[in-house]
Amino acid sequence: MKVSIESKVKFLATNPDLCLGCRSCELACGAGKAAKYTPEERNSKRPIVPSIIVTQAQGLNKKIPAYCRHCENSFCLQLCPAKAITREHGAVKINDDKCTGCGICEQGCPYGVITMTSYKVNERTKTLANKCDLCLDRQINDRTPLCYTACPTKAITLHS
Amino acid sequence: MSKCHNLSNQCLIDKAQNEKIDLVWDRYEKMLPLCGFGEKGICCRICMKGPCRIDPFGNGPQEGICGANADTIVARNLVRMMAAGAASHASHGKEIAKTLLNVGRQTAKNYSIKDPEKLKAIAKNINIDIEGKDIHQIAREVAYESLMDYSRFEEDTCTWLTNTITKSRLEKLEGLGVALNNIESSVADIMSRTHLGTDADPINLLLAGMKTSLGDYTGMQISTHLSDVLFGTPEPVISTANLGVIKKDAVNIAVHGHNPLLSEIIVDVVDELNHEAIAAGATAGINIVGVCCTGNEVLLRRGIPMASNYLSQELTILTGALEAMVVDVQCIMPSLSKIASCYHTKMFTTMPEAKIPGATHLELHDEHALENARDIVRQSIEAFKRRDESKILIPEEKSNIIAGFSTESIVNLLSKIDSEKPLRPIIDNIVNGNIRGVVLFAGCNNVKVTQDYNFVHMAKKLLENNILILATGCGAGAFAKNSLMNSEATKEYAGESLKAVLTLLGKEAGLDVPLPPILHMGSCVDNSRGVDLAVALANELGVDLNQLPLVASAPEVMSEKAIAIGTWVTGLGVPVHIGLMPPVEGSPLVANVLTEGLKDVVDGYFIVEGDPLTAADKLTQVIEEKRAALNIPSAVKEEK
Repeated sequence: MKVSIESKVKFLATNPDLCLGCRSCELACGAGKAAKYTPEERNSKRPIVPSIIVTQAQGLNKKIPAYCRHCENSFCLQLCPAKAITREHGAVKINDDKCTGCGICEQGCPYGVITMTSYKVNERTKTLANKCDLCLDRQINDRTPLCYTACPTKAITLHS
Repeated sequence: MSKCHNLSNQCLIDKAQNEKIDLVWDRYEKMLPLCGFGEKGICCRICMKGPCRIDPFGNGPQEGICGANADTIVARNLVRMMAAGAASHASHGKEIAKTLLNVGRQTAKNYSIKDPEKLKAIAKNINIDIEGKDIHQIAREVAYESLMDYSRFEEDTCTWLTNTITKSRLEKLEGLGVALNNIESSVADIMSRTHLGTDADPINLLLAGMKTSLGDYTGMQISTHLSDVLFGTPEPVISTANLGVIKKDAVNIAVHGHNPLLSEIIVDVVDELNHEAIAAGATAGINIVGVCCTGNEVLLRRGIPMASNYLSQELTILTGALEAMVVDVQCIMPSLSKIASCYHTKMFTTMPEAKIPGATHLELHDEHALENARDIVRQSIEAFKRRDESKILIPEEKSNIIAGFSTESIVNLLSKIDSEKPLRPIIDNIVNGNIRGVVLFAGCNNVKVTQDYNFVHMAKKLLENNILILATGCGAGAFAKNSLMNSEATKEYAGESLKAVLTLLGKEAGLDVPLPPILHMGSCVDNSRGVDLAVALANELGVDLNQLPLVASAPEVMSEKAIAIGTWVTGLGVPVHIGLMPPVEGSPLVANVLTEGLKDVVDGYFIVEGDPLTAADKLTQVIEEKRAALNIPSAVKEEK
């Protein structure tokens, strides 16, 4: 039987009770991104920002991973004036070529998990939005998202 | 959460923010979230197959790659912390002992024996015959005997352990096989047994940890007492504390770290160079201020004012009026040199094993000590000329303090009341209940707690309950800065019966005012003074240390040294409160041994309690239970 890509792409869920704040997920995500950068991006020192961020409120002894929910009626997707955000196989994805770096998606995100990064290319500053794409390239090859793979306590789980 | 309990420091924290200078609190915030594997002690980096992490929730790995489980990993990590603490206090003591040896050989021209009577008393205590020997020979023999505690290969127990604790305690520790023969080999033993594939039994590891912690104790005894011989035994002294001790019109030099070998030299050369500072425009001359335990050392012996304890050390530079930060070893934030570079402040490192990038290195323990000390002071005077007046902000607050309560000075004070049995007044008042008990506060500051908050709140509650407090290290610094070490504090915070005792003792000892409710016994190596007093009381009463209504507390514990100290205090039979959980939660077994099982073996145990008021209640409860067991008036007994 043929399985459609959509049906096999999994989404993230987390259990903060199991999160120890080791930030292995952040490291794995960032390392994965960096590995995909072009030589030009590397030369111009494009920042590496993980799309999953472990947060800890001052005075609150609880660590909470913040991550993209790939919302059904995503504000980011709806608000993007450049139509750079699309849905692919269920995941909300930013297309770097179309992104103008305006930051509206960052402002619209209710979970605060879109970050803006800037770097210089040929003396000009290039700003891009940055968010989780559920490691689609891995998932369509039957591999799990990097953050999930890296979590030592299974605080991150996958669901359909 | 505010950063400092002492609000006068806040203006400098704000200043740092305006000047975009990161302080310890900012770096902490940037570090969050802290890795829970490290917090719980279940991250093992001992070999290169890993690093390994044990999942405390049971979903992931329960064993490292070699098969070590959480209990083994937690115990190994913990005893390595103890070994590091022991190593630091032990090398402090060894430097002092070597200096005494050289003074005895008359080759250390910058040092002398300032307290020959104490040297003789030590010689007597460690069974060295002094009949017909000159002072230098006694110094050589005492130093040699002390250095044997670092090098002995026979199985005899260390001299400074044997001769400083109660007989029954020594027998107990020897029976357990933890009474060590050699401080340095106890540290080497920990490193060797925690190497990959050696000791995996958590209990066996913890026993070795107790042994090396007693090495920490032995090193401390040597540090304290031989320092007294070289630099004088502290006597009650009046001084001031908090950042307000930095003077606008003086060349301000901070001495920071732990070893008095260096700070004493700086203090020595100040007088001869004072006129140069005045000529440079500093009308108040040279003003030495203390930070951390070096600060405690020179406060107790020289009355040098105390600027800061551990966590606010960076703020001394933020005043914009500090010409030099002179550091030796331990508890020195490497950030200091970077912050100094934002000001005219010069930073000097002085020990071969403690260099900091960005600081000028001038050694103060070798033959050039005096000329290097003069060089440091002269460079500070030069720096004064480069001061930026617009960047100066010195908080006004400073507290009056009475410090200098060595065991000897307490006994001297009390002997004016009863020269035959000087400890009698204290014992009588403990027995009749005017003093319910004693808490020894020690240990660090920790950025996870509002600085000094736990110390101050616990102390106020304990004093109200008529419990006398002794303090050392950064705990003493906390009380000094926050006006808890003067006669006014006795009037304000001590319960009625404690207040009456302190007033009477103050009067009979020839002072016009009450003794302070918290007695400053010195730096963190001077926890040995607290033990000496406790041992003297126990011997007088004919009981062991664990029976005394005595507890210790490190409510803002942070360093490896503190872990070592806490462990040997439990080994001496005394319960220890700590305000933060050490990295042991990953092993319920180890955590249980420390808080419960230890009690059956050595009588002492750890009490972990983060809330200062609850902690004060728990310690009061322990004291009342100990009173009941001694059959002296106790709240516990009355309730029954």
